[in-house]
Amino acid sequence: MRSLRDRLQGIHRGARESPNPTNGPEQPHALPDGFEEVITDKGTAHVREQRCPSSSIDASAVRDVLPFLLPAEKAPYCVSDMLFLDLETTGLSRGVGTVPFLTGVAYQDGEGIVIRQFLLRDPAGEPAYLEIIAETIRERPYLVTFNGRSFDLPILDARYMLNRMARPKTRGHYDLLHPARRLWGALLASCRLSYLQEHLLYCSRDNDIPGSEIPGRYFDYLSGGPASVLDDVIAHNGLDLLAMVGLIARMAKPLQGEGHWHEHMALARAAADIGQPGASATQTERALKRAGDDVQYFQTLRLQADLHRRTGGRPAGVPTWMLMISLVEAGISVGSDTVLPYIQMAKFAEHDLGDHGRALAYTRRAIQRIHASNVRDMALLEELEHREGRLIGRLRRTFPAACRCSIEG
Amino acid sequence: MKLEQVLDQIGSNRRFSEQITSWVRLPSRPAQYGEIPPLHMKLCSALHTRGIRKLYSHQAEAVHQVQSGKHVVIATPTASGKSLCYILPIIDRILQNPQSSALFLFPTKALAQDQRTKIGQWISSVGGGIASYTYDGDTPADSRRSIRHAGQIVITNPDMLHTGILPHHTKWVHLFENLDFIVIDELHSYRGVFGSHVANVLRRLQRIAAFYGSSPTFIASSATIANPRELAEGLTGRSFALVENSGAPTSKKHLLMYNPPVVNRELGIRRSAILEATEILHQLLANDVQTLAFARSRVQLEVLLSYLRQRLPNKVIRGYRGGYLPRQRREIERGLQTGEIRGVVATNALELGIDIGSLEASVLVGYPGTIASAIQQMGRAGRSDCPSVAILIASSRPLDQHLVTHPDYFFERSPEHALVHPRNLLIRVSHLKCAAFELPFTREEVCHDHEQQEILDYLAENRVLHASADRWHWMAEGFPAEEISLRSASTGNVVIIDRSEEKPSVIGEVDEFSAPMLVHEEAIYLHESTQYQVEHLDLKERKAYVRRVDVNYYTDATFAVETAVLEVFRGEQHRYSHRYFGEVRLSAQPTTFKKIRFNTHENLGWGRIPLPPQEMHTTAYWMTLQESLTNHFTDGEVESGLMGLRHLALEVAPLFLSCDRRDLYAVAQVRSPFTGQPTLFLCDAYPGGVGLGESLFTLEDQLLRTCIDVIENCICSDGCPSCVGVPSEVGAHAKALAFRMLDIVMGER
Repeated sequence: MRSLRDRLQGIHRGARESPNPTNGPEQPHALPDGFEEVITDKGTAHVREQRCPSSSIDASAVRDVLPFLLPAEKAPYCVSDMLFLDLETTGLSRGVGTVPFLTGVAYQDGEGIVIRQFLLRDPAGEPAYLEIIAETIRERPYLVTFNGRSFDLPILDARYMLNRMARPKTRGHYDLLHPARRLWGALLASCRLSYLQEHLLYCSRDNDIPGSEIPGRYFDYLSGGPASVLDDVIAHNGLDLLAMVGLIARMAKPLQGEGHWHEHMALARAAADIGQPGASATQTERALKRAGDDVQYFQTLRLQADLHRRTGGRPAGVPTWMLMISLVEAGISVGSDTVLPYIQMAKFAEHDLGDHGRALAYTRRAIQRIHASNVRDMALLEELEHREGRLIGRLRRTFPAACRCSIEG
Repeated sequence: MKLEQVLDQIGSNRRFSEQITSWVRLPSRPAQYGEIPPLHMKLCSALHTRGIRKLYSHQAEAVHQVQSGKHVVIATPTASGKSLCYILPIIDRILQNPQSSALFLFPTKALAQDQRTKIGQWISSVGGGIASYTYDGDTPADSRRSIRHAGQIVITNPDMLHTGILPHHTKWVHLFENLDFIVIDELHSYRGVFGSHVANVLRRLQRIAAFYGSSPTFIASSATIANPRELAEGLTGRSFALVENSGAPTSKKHLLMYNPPVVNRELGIRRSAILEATEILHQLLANDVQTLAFARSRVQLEVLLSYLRQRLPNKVIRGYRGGYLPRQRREIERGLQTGEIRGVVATNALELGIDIGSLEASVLVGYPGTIASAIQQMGRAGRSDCPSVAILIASSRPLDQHLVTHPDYFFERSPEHALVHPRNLLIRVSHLKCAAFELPFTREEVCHDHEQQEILDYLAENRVLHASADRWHWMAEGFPAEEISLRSASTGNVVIIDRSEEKPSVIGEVDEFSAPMLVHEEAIYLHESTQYQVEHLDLKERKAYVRRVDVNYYTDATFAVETAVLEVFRGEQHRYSHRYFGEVRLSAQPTTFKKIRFNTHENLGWGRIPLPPQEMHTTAYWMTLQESLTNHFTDGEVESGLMGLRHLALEVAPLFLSCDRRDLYAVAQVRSPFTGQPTLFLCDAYPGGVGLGESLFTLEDQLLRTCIDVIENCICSDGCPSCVGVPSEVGAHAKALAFRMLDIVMGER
C-alpha cells in the first residue's frame, strides 16, 4: 500500500532536499551579528543599527537637482525627513507571496548617516517587523528608493494588506531609477544600482553577492543554516543604501559645472520641461563645451536653438540655425537632422520675414540634402515638396510671369 | 417552401427515408411563467421597457433562490434565457448597494466579450452607473488599475483569475471586500483535468474572499448534463439548489436520426457521413431552409463547404471556424439575421453561447463527442415560433451507431456525467502551493483535513513552504501560478512549436506521458482543426517541432500499454466478474503508427516510433472475468472476446463521462499478473486520475449494457470498427464472443 508520502515523492521529483532539517521551527534561529531585539506593540522585531559618521546626505544636491529630475514630488522640508529604503526579497515576482525579509533604511541625524536594517527572523514575526518599519517611515515620511515605485513599495503595501495593518503614509517618494536613466541611460551599459555605484561612485563591489543568490541565502537561514549565511545579504543591502545616498550627490555634480555632455543635455532638457529656461541655457552652454564630437555639438545646438525659439520666438533661434547650416555646408558629419535648420530658416523667412523667395531657397536646399543622404524620410520629403509647391504658388501670384523662369529653374 | 413540406419531401423519398432510423416529433410547449420577484424599481422599469411582464418559471425560481441566499445552478436548454437568472439578482443587489461587486467567469475570452455586451445593455437600461469590465490577457496595462479600483462587475476567465488576480489579491481589495456573487457560466465545460484545476482555483478564490470578510453566492449555469448539481458542488465545495425545469416556450421540433446506407455489410462499412450530409443539406438549402451544419473538423468543414458551393452556386453559404475575429462573427450573425446568408457550415467553435439568432435546421455531421455538445448544436435551430428540425448523421464510430438508434438521449435525461476530481494529488499540490503563495495556511484552517496537513508538511520539508508555530508560509522563489496551466496536464509538458512561419510560435502542450503517442515524428497533430506534422520530437528539451500541412489522413500510434495495480480502493465481486477501482502504474511503449484516411479509415501506410517507454501513475477501473465464466471458452476465445471488449468499451465509455476517447487508456490482459484472470482496464489518462476510473466503476452496469446494445445493433457479420473492431486486429469471432461474455456477466445482474 502506497502512502501519501510515496505518492508525493512520485510526483515531486527533483524537489530540493533540505540540507539540515533537524532545526525545526520551534528553535528560534540565531541572529546575525549586530542584530538586537526591539519590542513593538505587535511583538519582537530585530534591528541592527550602524553609523557612518563620515558620510552625509548632500543637502545642497537634494535642493538643487531633485526639483529638476523629480519635479512631481514635493521637496522635503529638510534632509533629516528623508528615508532611503531598500528591500531584499525572496524573489523578483510582484505577487503577494514575495516576502521582503530584510528591509534596510538610511537617514541622517546630527552625527551623520545611520543605517538601520530590519530582519524578518521568522515569517511568524512579520507583524512586529512591519510595525517597526512603519514607525520608522512615519518618523521620516520622504522616501528615497531605487525602482521603489514599481518594486519595493508595492511589495511592502501587499505585506501590510496581508497582515491587515495600515500601511504607513508617506509624504514624498523619490525613485532615483528614472532620473538615473535620464542622466546615464545613454552613457552607461547598465543602470543597475550596483553598476552605477561602481562606475560613477568608484566604489568597488567585488565581493558583493549576486542578486540571484539572495533568496536562497534566506531559505538556508530559515531551514536552520547558520546566521552568517545572511552576512553577505546584509552587507549588500547596506551598500545599496549608501549607493543611493551617493547617487543624489553625484546627480548634482553636473550642476556644479563638471559633468559629461549626456548629463548636461539631460539636465538642460529637464529644466526646459519644467519651464526654467535660464537653467536650461546654462546647461546647454556647458554641453556645448563638453561635446565630444561634431554630432554631439550639432545636437546641442539643436537643443539650444529650440530653447531660444521657445523663449524668444522664431527669430531668437536664427543665429544658432545659421551656425548649424554652416556646419552642414562645411561638410562636417553631423548625423541625422541635417535638414532641420533649413526647415526652421524656411519657416522664419516665410512667416517672420515674408520673404517667399528665401523660404523657397531654404526649402530646396533641404530637399537636396534629403536626396543627397542615404537615409530618406519619405514623409518629410513629401512635406517639403508640398511646402515648395505652395511657395512657388505664392511667388507666382506675387510676381509677374517675368520671374517665372528663374523660379522654376 | 415551408420547412415541413421540405421534410415531407425528404420523408417520402426512399433515398433518404430508408436511412432515417428514428423521427421524433417534439410538440411545441407554451411558456410557463413565474411572478417577477421583488426587484429594485429601476430594474422593474427596465424589464417593463423591454416588454418583459413576466419571467419564465425557471428564471423566477432562480432569482428567488439567489435572493434567499442559496448557491444556485441553472441547467436548462440552450436559449432558455439563462443569463437573466444571474443578471437580474446581481444588478438588483448593486442598485441596492453600490459597493457590492460580482465576478463573472466564462471559459473563453470570446464568450466573455459577448456577455459583456449583453450585461452592458442591461446596465444602460437601468440608467448606467454600474462599472463593468472584462479583465483578461488583452486588457491594456493602463486600464487594469482602474478596473481593480472601480469595477463592480469584473468579467474574466479562470486562467486569468488563476495567474492574474488571485496572486495579486492585495491590489483587488475593493472587489474582494465586497464580493457578493460569483457567476460560473458554461459550468459543464469545467470537467476533467481543466475542471479539476478550476475546482482548486475556486477554492483559492473563496479562501481569499474569506480573508477579506466576504462569502459570495455562486450562480452557475450549465448545459443539460446528468449531474449539474454534483458538478457545481464538486467545483466549489458548496451545496447548491438546482433549477432545471425550463419554463421557456419551445416550438415544434423534428429530431431525425440518420444512418448512412450500408456499402459493405460484412465489413460493416457505410457511406461517408460527409457525402450523405451533402445530399441532405442540398435538399434543405435548395428549398430555402436556413440551415446550420456542424462538421467535426476543419478539414470536414472545408470539404462540405466546397461540395455545397459547387452544387448551389446561387446561395450564400459561409464557413465558421475557430479564431474568427469579433467583427467577422458579427458579420455572419448579421447576414443570418437579414436572411442574406442561407447556410453556415461550422466547427465546434460556434457552439459556445454565440448568438446567431434562430435557424430552421441544424445538421450534425457525426456525433460531436458529448451529448451536451450535441444538444447545444441541435438547439441552434428552433428559437422562434416556427417549427424546426435537427438531424444527426451518424459516422461509423460505435457511439454514433449507438446514438442513431437511441434519440431519447437528446431530449430525455442526458447520461453524461461531467466529472471533476479536485483531490487529484498532482493538481491539488500545485494549487496548494499557489494558495500558500497567496496567503499563509494556518494550522486551524487545515485541522480537519489530514491529507492537506501532510502535503503542507511535505512541502515544508522540501523547502517550498516554511512551517512556523501556527502557519505554513510560502518560502520559495518564483511564481507558482505561472508554472501551472489550467488547460493542460502535468508539469513537465512537452511544448509544441509551430515552425511554419518565420517566427516559430507555441501552439499547445501535451503531457509527457502522451507525447510519444501524440507527437512522435511524422505524427499529424490537430490543433484548432488545423493539421500539423511533427518534424522533430526532443523529449529531453520537452519540445516538439511541427509544421502546418494539409493532408487527407490522421495518424494513430500503436503502443504496448502495460498496467500494474498499485492499490485497490474499491472492489465488488459478482459471480462471473469482479470490478475494481484503484491506483495503477501505466507504462506505454510506443511501437508503430498508421496513417489513416479521413472518413474511409483506409490505411495509407505506417512507420516505427523509436522512443523509450513512458510511465505514469493513475487511477483505473478494471473488470476481471472469473473462472466460472472463462470455463465456457477456450483460451483463444477468451482472448478474442476480451480484445473486442477492449475496443468497444473504450469507444462507449465517453458517453457516460463527458470526455474524449483520448482521455482514457484501455488495456486488456489475458492473464493479469495482479488478478490472475483475464482483465480489462480502463485507465484515466491523466496522472493521478480525474475521476473517470471511479465513475466507470459506479456506472459499470450502464457501460456493459450499452456495449451489448451496440453489438446487437451492429450490421456487420464478424466485427467491424463500429463495434468490437476488425477481426484481423482483435481476432476471429470477437463480436459473438464478446457478446456472449457480456450476456453471461449481465445475466445475473
